[in-house]
Amino acid sequence: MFFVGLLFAIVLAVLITLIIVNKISVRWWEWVLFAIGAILLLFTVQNFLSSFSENEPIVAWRFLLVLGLPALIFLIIPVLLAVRRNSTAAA
Amino acid sequence: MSQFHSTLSRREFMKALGIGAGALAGAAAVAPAFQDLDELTASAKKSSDHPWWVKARDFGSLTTEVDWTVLKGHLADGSYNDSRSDSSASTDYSSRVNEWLADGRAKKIPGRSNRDQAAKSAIGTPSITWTWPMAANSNAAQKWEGTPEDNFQTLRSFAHYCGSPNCGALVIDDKMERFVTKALEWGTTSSAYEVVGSGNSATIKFSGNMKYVFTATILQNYTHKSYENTKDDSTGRAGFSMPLGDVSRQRAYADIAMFEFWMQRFITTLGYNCYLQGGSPNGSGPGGRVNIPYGLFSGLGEQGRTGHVMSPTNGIIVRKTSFFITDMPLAPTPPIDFGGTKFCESCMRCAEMCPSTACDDRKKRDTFDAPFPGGRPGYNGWRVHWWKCTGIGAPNTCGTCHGLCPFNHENDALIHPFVRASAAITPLFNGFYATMDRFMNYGAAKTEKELNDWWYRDFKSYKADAIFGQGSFQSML
Repeated sequence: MFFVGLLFAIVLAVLITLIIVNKISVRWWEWVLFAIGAILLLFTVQNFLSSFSENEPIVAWRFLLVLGLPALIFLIIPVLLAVRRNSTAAA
Repeated sequence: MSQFHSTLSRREFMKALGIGAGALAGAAAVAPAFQDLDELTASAKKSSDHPWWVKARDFGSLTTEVDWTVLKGHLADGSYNDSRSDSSASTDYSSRVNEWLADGRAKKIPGRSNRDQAAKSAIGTPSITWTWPMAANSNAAQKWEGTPEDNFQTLRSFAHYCGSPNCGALVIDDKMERFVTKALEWGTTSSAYEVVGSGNSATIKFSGNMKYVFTATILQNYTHKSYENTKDDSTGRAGFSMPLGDVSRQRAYADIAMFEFWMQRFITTLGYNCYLQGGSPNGSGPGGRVNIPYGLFSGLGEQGRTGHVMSPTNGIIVRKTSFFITDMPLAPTPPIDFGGTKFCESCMRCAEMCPSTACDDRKKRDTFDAPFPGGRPGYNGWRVHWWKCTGIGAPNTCGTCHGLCPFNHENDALIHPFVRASAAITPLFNGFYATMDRFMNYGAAKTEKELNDWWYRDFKSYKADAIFGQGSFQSML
């Protein structure tokens, strides 16, 4: 989980830098949705990896479906919203 | 240099503030709250190692209601346990099991081949010469004297070293006396105890000082237990117990023997008399066989659907509550409530898979009577049809129910402590959690590949083997 946390921090730092550098406007609810998605994604990864250590490989893969899918949706929606709005504003 | 400007307006900020306040209020509603100082001190009284979401109850008050005017320590015929079983079903079942095992040996079927069956046979209880009541060490210079709280902590600490995850204590009174056989009596004696007669027919009289009971949970290896699971497609229930996984039960009994051997000697060496409850682990000696009530009344768990002690952290993978009667003063620990019994009302995982249909499938507890043979009247709980249960060879050849409780799961995956804490706070999601437990494939039968792969597992990553001397440190990766 240490490396998962490290990777997550790097990705988050890059994302925030991109937002600042490109002056992308992000609404507060988009941050909230993204934060929910990020927490859910971390929760998914933790349960996925730990289920293998619990000797439950089938459970591990089902965690990806049950928690991972909603996590991705929560992550993608605010990104799409922000990208669409900013591209509309630029046009 | 570019500057980042927040796009948050004052209106949006106020909205966010409202949502934040709502979330805080929600968190406050589900967090443990103390109405007064009594509640606060009661929360600190809970026995030893339970997590924060486990609530302490008043002494003598279980989440299973007891009618003390009815509940007796022994059955109507004077016996302590009803050992009868459904013999016709038993004969039929054992002949089918033997055929199944022979097939496994002949065809080298993973999980029931010769090496799997040998593993089960090999893990036996070591032969120990038991001394049921053991006299205190008479060397006064070696006596340990502490407060009841400190004495309990001393035993608890040693018990944890010897392999018990959680311990409790209680004081014998006229109610607790009912849970040992008629062979044990409390009254006036010239010494701490007097043994009258010998062998299994002996009776033991205790002095009033022998009133403390130290209890300790002994677990069965849950991960390895999962190799026992099978499925009978014709019934939709569990099939015969796979010998490879059966090893975990045999191992637990061996662990119990060593644990009890060590604990009794520890207590007597400290300078106190100690009676190790008889009848277990090797079935000889006078004394009580029912250990569950002592586990419940000393706060090691709640009573689950199967009648066993259901631990908040280990479910019903508890193999036994070991108990020791002593004159070492011990501070009692109260019964607990973690929403376990309430969870059983919605769950049904054990009842739906029980191969003998012995497990009670009534959703709610609605009677103080014993509706099935072998049960005790006097408490409002579920009961097992013992004749059916022992009819298929339980506990030696079946322990299906023990392995299916959603509270059994290890705590590596964060979802498990989350579910436990949530179920303790509200029963609202219990049915959903049980459904998810089924969907996620917990308790499913292992494939032949998985059963075979156990013999070639990666020792560095497989966490379920109990390695002597290593404690909880992880092996080197």
